[in-house]
Amino acid sequence: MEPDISKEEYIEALKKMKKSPASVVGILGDLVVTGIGTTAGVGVAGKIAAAFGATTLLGSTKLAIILGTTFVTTTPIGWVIGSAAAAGVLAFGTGRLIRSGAKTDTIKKYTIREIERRISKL
Amino acid sequence: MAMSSTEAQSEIEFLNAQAVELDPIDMAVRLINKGLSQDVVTHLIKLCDHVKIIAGKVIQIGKIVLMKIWEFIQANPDLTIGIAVGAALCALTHMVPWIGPKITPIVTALGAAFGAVAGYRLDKKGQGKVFDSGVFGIAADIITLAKKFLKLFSSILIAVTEYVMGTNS
Repeated sequence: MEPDISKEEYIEALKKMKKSPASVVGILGDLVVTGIGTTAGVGVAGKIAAAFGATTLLGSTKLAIILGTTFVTTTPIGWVIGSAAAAGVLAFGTGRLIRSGAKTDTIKKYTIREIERRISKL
Repeated sequence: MAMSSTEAQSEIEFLNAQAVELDPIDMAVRLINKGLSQDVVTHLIKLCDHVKIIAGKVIQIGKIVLMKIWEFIQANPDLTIGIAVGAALCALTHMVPWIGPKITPIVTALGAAFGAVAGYRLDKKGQGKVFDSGVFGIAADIITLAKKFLKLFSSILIAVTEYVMGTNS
């Protein structure tokens, strides 16, 4: 049986926990969700659409060829299915990683809160 | 060290009775104050969520593993804590294969490459192929130390796993 932890030990651990940064994966997750995801999504949307079925622009294949795949926007079903499939594949791979990082950060926040609660009780 | 399933069950129940008392927050405080990286501590604390039903009883397998790692740390107070935890995890992964996926994030946080190379050299040494000194040689020795310390525990886990597999098939 371990001896009880003293108030000083709780305080020391709390200081160390507050000093260290959030989980790297958690930070990465935030970036992906807020910034990188949006930028990348806008940047590759046309290409994704082309790769998954959108081949016309305003009903014209010639116009689509001239302007390139970045501007291919008008085959709604191909666009939607294509984008969704690509996003799904991407999300599946990164999702677990992000969730893991987010969970780690949640556990850390909970641990800090709990230590603070115990200190206040001692 | 082969163990019968009856013996293993009673051993695991005994360990479970001790592990139930383990407070994850207090354990986190102890590990952080010992100087272990916070990411690693958080991943170790996450282990406490893992339970297994063995012979109709809920066994806090994650807490038991954490308890054993803590025992190894305390038994080797002069070892740097990160190395002690890494060696214990490395030894457990080597001896009890199903533990691997559960502790991968911790091993990653500790720096998997070092442990992997040390483990590889250890295997080679076992085959009489490499007799290494230097940093990796020392790491290999520490893993050997952890394996000796956790041998009985791994025998219990293996016997219990065999029992569970037998009852499920």
